[in-house]
Amino acid sequence: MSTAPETERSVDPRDVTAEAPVLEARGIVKRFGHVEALRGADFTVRKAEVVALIGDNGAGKSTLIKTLSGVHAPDEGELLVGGRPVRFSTPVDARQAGVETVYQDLAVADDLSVAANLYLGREILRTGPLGRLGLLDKRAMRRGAAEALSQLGVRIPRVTTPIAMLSGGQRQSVAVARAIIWATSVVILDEPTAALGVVQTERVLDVVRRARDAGMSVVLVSHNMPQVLEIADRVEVLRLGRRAARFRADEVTTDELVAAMTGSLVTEKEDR
Amino acid sequence: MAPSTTSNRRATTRQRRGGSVLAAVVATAVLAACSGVEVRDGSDDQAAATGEPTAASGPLELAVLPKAVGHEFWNTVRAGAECAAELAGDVTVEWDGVTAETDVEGQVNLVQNFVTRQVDGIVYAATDSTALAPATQGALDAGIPVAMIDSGTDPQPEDVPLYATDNRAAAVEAANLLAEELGAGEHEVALIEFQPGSQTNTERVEGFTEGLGQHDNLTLVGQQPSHSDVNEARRVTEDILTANPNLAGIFAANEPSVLGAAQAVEAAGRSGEIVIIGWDAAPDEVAGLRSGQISALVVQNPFNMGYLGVQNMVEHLREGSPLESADTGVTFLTQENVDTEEAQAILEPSCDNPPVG
Amino acid sequence: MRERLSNALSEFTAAAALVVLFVALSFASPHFLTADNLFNIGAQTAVIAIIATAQTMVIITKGIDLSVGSVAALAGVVGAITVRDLGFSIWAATAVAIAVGALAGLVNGLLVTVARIPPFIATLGTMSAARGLVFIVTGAVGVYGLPESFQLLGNGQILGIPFAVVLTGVVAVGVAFLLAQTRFGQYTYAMGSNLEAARRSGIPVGRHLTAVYVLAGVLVGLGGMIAASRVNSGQPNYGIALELDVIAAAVIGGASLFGGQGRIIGTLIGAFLIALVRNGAVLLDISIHYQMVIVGLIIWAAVYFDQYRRRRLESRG
Repeated sequence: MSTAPETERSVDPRDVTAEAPVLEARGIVKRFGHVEALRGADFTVRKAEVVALIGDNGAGKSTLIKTLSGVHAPDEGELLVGGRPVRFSTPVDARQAGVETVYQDLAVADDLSVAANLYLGREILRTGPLGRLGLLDKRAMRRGAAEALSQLGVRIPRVTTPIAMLSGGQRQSVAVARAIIWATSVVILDEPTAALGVVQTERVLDVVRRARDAGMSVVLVSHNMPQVLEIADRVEVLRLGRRAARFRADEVTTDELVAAMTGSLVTEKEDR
Repeated sequence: MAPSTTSNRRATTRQRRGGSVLAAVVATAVLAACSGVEVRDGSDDQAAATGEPTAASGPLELAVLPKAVGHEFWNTVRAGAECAAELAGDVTVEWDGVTAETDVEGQVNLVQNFVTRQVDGIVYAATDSTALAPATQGALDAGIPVAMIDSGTDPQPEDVPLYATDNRAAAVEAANLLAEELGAGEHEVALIEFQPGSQTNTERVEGFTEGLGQHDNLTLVGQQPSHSDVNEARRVTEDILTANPNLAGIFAANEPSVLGAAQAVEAAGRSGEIVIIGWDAAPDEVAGLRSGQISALVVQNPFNMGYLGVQNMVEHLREGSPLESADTGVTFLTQENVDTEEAQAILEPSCDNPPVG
Repeated sequence: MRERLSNALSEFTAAAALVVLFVALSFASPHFLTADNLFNIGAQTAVIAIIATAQTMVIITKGIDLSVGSVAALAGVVGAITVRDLGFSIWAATAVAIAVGALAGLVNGLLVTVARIPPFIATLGTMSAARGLVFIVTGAVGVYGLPESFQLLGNGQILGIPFAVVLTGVVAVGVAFLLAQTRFGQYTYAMGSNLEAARRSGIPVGRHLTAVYVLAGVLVGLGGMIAASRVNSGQPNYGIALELDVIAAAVIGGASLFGGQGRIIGTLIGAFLIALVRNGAVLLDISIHYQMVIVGLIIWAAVYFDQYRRRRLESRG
């Protein structure tokens, strides 16, 4: 699949001891007609960390996310997974590389059960000839779903309930859990709590923490600064299609984040 | 005939291009010289002399529109129309129709399209007597004469003739025939109509019930429509048989209704026991008559409808003869008379031996 | 199992209506509850039930197939013609009819997935084109003169049960199993429920959607052949407005035109509910006009219930 040549990995001077980032974007350019949505954007996710991606409206967040998840192919720049260059032409390519994405509204099929949603596109079939006929092993899927959800602390009445019967928070938790279960390296969450109340938000964030503690890397797109500081390990700020600043979450204030988003605080070099 | 055909075509082209009386006269001369059909000479002279539209002087294009395409009946109408056209010579029949008898609006549009096309005459069967009245008037206003076949309009303009079966009278006769076949004693009978709301259906239903009124020993216990669908006819007949185990007779008012009714009776194992009086004469209906499934068939003369419609229209256009309505008649077909020459002429009409006059 | 509680609710309502009507008719007419009448109802409903099964699959994908009536007629007349003119056996003719249906389904599927024409429009086109082909191949005349053996599918019996009823049972069980127990079924519901989610889950939606239309076409072809066999002729006017009956059956049985919902058991209940109304009306000699009104009321009630249920579910979400 990958046609890009193996390149010498440029090492971040401030973090020489770290192993290769699980997911890295370098100098991504993406144009839509005459509009340059990304103008050499960089992005880095390391193992077992929650990285928040923030930026003002129009900064290029969603374009970057779609590039990372295989929806858009970049015009320039490269993506690396575990240090190896990759090329995603479809969302399926990204998923095969271990990158799972939860989109705001497109996450789940309302009419299917929780278990069916968790296994959608990856159904467990019966063994033997029946399986070759496409016969589902529903029991195995129910069991697997119940196990995975309890590990992540997602509480729902039963895995056979249709998604449409769940509350918004439960629904989003299932969507996030689904991504976490199948991701092997990175989960990207696009505004996962935008439509949720306080209690429901806390539940979803709890699922995110557990995933991080289990060694998963999480990219979180959010507008909510206190929430970002509460859950993220690091924050990367996108401005005008480029990375404008990087912070450790425990060393930064909301004001500094806002300053970075509006351009009055820059930690990155203007030119590469 | 070959030279005349060629010259006709030339004449047509010239007329359409110039459309002048002079062209018509030239065409007339060419026609007279090549084809030598005397009748034409007279009419053409007349047309040229009076300055009438020049259509009459050359080939005629007639639109002939059935209620719907897809049934034996209308194909026989078509055969009659084309036979008359062939005998008259130099007449083109444009056969076109909607796919369902219920598509009234579709037929209105179709008639209007032929008016726009400026055909020489329109011969058609109205799917709805009221709804098509303006369409007929529209054609007349555009100077295109109209003749109705099978079903007319309401009101029917004075100069528009109707060549049709008197459905009501024939249905009364069907009831009499049913009474005769069943004989004395009390009998339950059923009616399978086809398209509630359509003019022809209404006439047959009213005629039949009027006929029943003359026979006190017959009771109508079931009346259901088939919507001209054999499957539907079979279904309702099965259900009527279930509801009325003593049913003795059925009158089915058109081809699909008859076929479905006969199949239901057959499936119930009561063929020959229940008297079926049918209408129309599709091959399977005639086969049912021969095998005794069906006692009698009211057979219209659709060939004659198409034939009279086109023949009179051509005469009107070429000779200016007035258009007058005529009953095209029915024949009661039974096992006894099915093989007579007269019956065969109706059943397998051909232009060699047309069942007309 | 309450996997599809919402489906089960409207199925329950429809089933209750069916039972009520059944009991009422048993009292209203002494002829209703007889083996002959019940077999008749079964045979009368067979074709509608089979084609409604096909329609249900398409409706689950959030699609609709308006071409079923025309395609059934095309399959029936082509099957009849192969018997009359080419001397095919009823089985070979049935295979041909099914192939005709599958081909029409393939056309529908490709129009929807490749040409990206909305199902309503795509199948409206097929409806017209297929009816045109019916008239072309028949010359607008019924196909008659068929051998006795042609009636096997529509009028034959197996152990005293109408063959058409047996076929309906096989089709219904087969499709119900396919939808409920296989990956094919899972994808079908997923696409109708949330096409984008299905696509991003890696389901080959284009290929799968086409397969649903083809399978629906296969069943429509079979149904058309049974209908032709039942009246021992190929009828060019068969199936006009049939799509309305089968959509009504599916909707009454709980299939949602918004996609993602519907089960074959519900559709069968819907089909038999309509059939009982019609059968009962004839048994009681009620005019066709009232039958149509009653069927209309049932459709309203079923769809209203579906909407009501959805609103309640959404307000909970």
